[in-house]
Amino acid sequence: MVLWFTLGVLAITAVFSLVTYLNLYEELHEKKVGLEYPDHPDWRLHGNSSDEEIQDIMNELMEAALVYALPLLAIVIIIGYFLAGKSLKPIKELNLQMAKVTESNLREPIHSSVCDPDFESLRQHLNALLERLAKSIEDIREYAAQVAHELRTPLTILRLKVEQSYRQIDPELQEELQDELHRLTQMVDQSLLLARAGRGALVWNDARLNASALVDELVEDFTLLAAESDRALSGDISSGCIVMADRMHVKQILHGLFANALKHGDGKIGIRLCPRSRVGEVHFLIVNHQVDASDSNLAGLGLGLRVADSLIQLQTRIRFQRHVGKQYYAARLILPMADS
Amino acid sequence: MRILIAEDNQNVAQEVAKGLRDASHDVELANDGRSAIALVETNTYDVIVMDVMMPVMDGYTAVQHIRRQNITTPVIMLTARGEVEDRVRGLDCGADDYLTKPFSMVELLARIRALGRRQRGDASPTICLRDLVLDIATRTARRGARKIELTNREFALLEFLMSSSPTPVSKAAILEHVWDQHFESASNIVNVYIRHLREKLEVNNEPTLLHTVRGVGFVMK
Repeated sequence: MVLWFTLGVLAITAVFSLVTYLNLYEELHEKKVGLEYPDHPDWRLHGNSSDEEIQDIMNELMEAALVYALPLLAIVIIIGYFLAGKSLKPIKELNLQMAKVTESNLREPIHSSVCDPDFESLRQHLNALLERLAKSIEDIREYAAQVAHELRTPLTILRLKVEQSYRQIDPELQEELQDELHRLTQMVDQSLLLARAGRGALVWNDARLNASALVDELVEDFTLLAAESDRALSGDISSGCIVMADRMHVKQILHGLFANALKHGDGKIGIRLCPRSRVGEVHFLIVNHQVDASDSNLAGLGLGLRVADSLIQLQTRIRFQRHVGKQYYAARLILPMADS
Repeated sequence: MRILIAEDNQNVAQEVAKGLRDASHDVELANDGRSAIALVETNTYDVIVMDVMMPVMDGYTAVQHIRRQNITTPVIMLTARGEVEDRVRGLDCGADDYLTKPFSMVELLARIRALGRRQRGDASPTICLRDLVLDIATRTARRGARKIELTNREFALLEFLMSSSPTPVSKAAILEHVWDQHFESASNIVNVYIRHLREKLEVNNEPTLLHTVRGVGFVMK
């Protein structure tokens, strides 16, 4: 805005100067100089300025114009800056307030310190928009809560009944029922999470997270599980990798990757967690050896990986890459490193 | 303990009440938040188990009302909403603990015991079972004079089994308590950990402490 104002003023000044210059130049060429003699009133000497004289006059004019141009430019910029600042103040105010809007404070109204009707109208429209957004998020939450309630309440009843009637049910059937109920609960949880992600109702809460400790925790479980199926899980986990991410969501993504690696293939599972300080990232790599590349589930049709995909899409600073080789499947999760 | 259950679904309320009565607790029921408040204002309870989604008055509002009356009875919220923000809201309202449906009776009983201990200022740092001693404060375990090296997960598992003893604990309850989030639980991870724990607890023909109860789960006795 300052630039536009400066250019505008300079353009007007330049046009005015040019017109003046041309006009003066023309006048000097045409104007006749008349000298009168008091002793002889009827005598009159007529003449023109010479070209050199005209050129001198014009040069002086140019010099003066150039001398005054710099202070004029500075004044114009200062005035422009002041005017722009004044005119943009309400926009800056709105911008600052909008930047602070989060899901938790959607209902806090936007204020404006100016009474300009256009800004007032903009402010009112923004507040109405935020109100509609808050209402929409509330509706989604309410719906999700209602669905969760409807799905989980019968599961609770079933589970309590199965637990309490263990003396009357055949132990094998009891165990099977408990396992199936648990599996059903997991599916309900994941489906609800996918539904919330699909409606944009999932929240990603960034915080400092020790990725090394988190991966170590998962490695402990999955090393034992891998050993159960005669597979080896080994890796190189750099210590002290601190990232900015949502702990629960990242854990769920990593869990999905580990579980997927265990589910497919027969060979060893290699993992690596390392910092890339130069680009401010932490890379987690998991390579699953001796997999069948034609296995369609490998690329992620399962519920677990769908959940992981939805969670990754929540946060643009997190990237996910996968590569299916001839006999291996590799997945890389890239997390933003936290500021030290 | 005298426990109030505020739950609008009669099936859930009856099953929870039965489980608590079986564990020798004295139980009263309320159908909604307002009835719960009326009962709390006229009776003394050791623990309140409060559902969130109830007609007339929801659980959050009821707990807020109870806390405004300066009633400090511990409250466990039961809810189908398991998201972090819902948990935070529940705890902000004045609840002491939060349990997501579907839950195991053993898990609810463990939480009620923990709240009861906290209320009495009786947070013993050790749990003992025969010659096995678990020190919660230093996170160490000993069997007789022998020190047992445990990972964090194994320690959490042993703590849950010992604190629930002599009640058998199902695999699902272990998964929810020790692994916390449903997505984490692989079907056979509990069996794997139980086997590792047994190998550490019972060496050189020491008497068996960790038993499998067919069709139910595991018990320490």
